[in-house]
Amino acid sequence: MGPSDEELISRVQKHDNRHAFAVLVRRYQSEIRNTLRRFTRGNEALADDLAQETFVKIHRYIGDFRGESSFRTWIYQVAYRCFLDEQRKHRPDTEEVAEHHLVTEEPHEGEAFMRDFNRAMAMLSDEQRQAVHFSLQRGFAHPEIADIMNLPVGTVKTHILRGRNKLQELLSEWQEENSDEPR
Amino acid sequence: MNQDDLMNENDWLEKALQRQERYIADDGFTDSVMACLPAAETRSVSVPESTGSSHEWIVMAAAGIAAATVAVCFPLMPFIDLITVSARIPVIAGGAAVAAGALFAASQMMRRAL
Repeated sequence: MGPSDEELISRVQKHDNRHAFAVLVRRYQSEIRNTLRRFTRGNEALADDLAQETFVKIHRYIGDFRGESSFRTWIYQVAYRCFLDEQRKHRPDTEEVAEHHLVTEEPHEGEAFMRDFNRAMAMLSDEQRQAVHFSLQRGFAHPEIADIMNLPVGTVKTHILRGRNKLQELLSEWQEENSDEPR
Repeated sequence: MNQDDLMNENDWLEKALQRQERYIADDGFTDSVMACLPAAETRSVSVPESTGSSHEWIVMAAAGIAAATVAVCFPLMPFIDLITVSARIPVIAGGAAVAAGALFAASQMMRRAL
């Protein structure tokens, strides 16, 4: 186990320590890229560009980071804003790419489940999908998701509740299979 | 549906999704981020000299006070008259020396600051 986030952040803030920053990037790159791939509906090139932009911004503003939220929450906040900016600029392109990549992503063991899950997620509104992702797949608490998405906590709760209900309805067959598995 | 049922339903979905999350290998991603960062600033390791040491500030303050005292005691016009009075020449010379010292110290500090 390496140094904590706080230790690494302090080294970057005080000495612009590039090695410490590279450790932070390596630590979070997979989950941030995964999240952005979901949000761009499988457009890997766009997602990686956004992830790169996210980490460059993190480096630029790390001097202003005071630890009021966790570093992880802050990274997601920056990544989400980069994604929204991109979406505002090129919304039609993102939608077009989406349909193409939805079918081909996740070519591994749970492919069938993920295909159905992605189809179910596509039935949700953008905000429901994003809030559900932050909650179910990233384990953020409601106030953290509210920070990331810059929404009131009540709105976030509503998005998550409605999103989950839809998912459960659409994935009910998978739930039955899962409940047959020994615990 | 009661709260326990809801929790169980959320639980299976959460677990299933977390199981499916695959790790994305770095494959040069971190290097590409690092290459995009602006060049590192070269920072001075020692305390910046431009602020001056406390010793210098004390000398500066003393010189300033001395110069001010001389200026108050010997206003400009009487100062010109005093030049002719040989008895007071050492006092004038002392005041001028203190003032010169203060100016020199100030110029040194300005040079370091710039």
